[in-house]
Amino acid sequence: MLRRARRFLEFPFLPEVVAILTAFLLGLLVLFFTGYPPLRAFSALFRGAFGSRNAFGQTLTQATPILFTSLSFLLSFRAGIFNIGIEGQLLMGAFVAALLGTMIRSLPLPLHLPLALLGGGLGGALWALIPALIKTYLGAHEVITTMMMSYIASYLTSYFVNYPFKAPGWVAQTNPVQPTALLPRILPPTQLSLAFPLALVFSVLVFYFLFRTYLGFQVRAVGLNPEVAENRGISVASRQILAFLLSGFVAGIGGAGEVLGVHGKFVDGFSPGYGWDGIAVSLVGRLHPLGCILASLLFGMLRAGGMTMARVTKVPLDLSLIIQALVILLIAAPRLIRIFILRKRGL
Amino acid sequence: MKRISRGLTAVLLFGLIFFSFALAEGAGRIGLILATGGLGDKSFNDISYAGALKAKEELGVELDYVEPKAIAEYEGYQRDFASSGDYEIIVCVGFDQADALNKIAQEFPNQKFAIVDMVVNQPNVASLLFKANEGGFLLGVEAAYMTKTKKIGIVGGMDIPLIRDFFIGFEEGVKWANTGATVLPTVYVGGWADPTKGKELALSLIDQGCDVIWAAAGKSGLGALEAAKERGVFAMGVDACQCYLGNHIFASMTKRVDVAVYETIKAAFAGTFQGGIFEKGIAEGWIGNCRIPDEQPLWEERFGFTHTVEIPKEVMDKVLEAKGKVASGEIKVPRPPEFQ
Repeated sequence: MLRRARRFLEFPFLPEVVAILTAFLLGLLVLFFTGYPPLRAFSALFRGAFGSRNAFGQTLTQATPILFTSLSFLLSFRAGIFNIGIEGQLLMGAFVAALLGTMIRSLPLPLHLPLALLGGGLGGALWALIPALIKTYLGAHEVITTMMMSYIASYLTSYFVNYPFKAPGWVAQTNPVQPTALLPRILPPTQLSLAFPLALVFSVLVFYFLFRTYLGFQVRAVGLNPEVAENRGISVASRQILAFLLSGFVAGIGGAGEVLGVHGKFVDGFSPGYGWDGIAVSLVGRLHPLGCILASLLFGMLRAGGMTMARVTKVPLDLSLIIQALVILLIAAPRLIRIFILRKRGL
Repeated sequence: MKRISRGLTAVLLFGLIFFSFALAEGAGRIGLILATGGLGDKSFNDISYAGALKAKEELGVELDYVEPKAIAEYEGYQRDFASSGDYEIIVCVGFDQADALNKIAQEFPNQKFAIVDMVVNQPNVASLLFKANEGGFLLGVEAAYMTKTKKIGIVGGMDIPLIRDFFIGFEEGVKWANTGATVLPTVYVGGWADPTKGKELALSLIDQGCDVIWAAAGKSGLGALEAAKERGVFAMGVDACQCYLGNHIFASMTKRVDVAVYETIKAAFAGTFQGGIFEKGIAEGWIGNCRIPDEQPLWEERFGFTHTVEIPKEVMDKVLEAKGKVASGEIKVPRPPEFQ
């Protein structure tokens, strides 16, 4: 019996599962005390996330950008960099992809689409290169610079689509992307596009790079202990710049995926903060690419279900954001739970 | 144990999910997707909501509404509403929902939709438009009598047909009143969200001698109202009754989105709903003026204030005469060529 109990406690994802269930439970309580019908609200949440082909597509659509941004954060974090400017890199990537998608005409799809995607990735990477260089050569901490760069990107793209690149009409957006640059939809009629499988491919690539290549090993070594890595002859600065570039690249692809897959143009304010969500999702996913997949699915589910919940029960969408926040809070402390468990076992 | 606990979790999860489906909502509801900005804007969203609420109470059906935060969310919400199959009609508020609705209306050809202030050319969409020129006409009559310097200034958001429609009617109304008042050439802000520039332009009009200012410029227009307040001259509101914003605002042209939304919802439930473009004005009660006696108490109650500027009886008589003549078709208010 004791052995069984111990084995249960050693279930590797126990803290995460406990955290998620607790968050849902607290969410129910919040609903109850704010006067909403908790069960109806939660049933709507699940229905909106899995209840139909449309709901399922919505969940995956919502999971896609945050999977990209969580991979982006993971790449930087493993190199010991705290890149919190992913939102800006995503926006710049999205904007470059939109430009390439709208301005280039009469290029066949097999060339145009990869070009627009790649452009998006490079846009994100270049935006990340600036804080990387500032960190390396001027020593300014990336937490400040990346966040500042994020605001610049947000206002800059907003300016672009309000003035020089604005499509005719009342809405601040670019012209529609040429059909040859659009990511094919894979679950019509939902907005789910090829961006989702692409995100899965990127998860595998990130995993392979970090854990199966020598360069990835060096990046992780720098993240674990820069002094030791330096002593071992690994150039810390160059590996960190590399991680910054890769991080920005993945964020930029994420933005391009939104433009080319979901909206078909750059709409001002299309991102409700995917870049910031990525940080949390990455942490919930234990800073591992496969964990990121699961965590982004959870968050996608909360977002998609939250919409149905808002419609059916008038529970504001903010409430599903509260559940998200609770998940993050509770998972940021899995260590505490582990220590607590270890104490109980007298270790 | 591990296996048991896993199995238990799975059973619980599936149970919860199946339980969810058992609680699916019934059909025959009203869906309302508001414009970004949401409730509390004392304008478009609040008024549309009021119309839907009236329909809900009269028909005794349920009303579900959402307040999207970004343009990018419209499509998701529209599809979410439409795919549920619970809604007799889904009302989308605001011109910027048109792109998304054009797509969704084709995906769900059996779902009835309505869109406010924009045209979506699909057989299952009713596009609700308002003859702003007629509202401008009535306001022009009022302005012509209220100005002492005989100069009236107007500020537009953008130089587009939709806005010129307001002003052509307005100028025609001033002319019809025949008090010797003139309207200075229209000035345009070039954007909907620039109150500072709206204010500058209005100040320059006041410097040229205008003592009545009208703005049809979204948020930019609030700057123009502010300028009039600062210089102690009259101003007029647009879309909804904006007179609660200050005592210097004596009248507003009203777009009765509430009436349009209410009538469309009622038609949907009565089985008389038709897709197409519905452009209505004073005759149908879709366009009005907040100082007209039937309308005034409605706005004062809705926004919790009272109009302070007295409109002399002979002026109001003239306005009512104009209203009657426009409604009967005796006066044909011109429109920009793009509308013909």
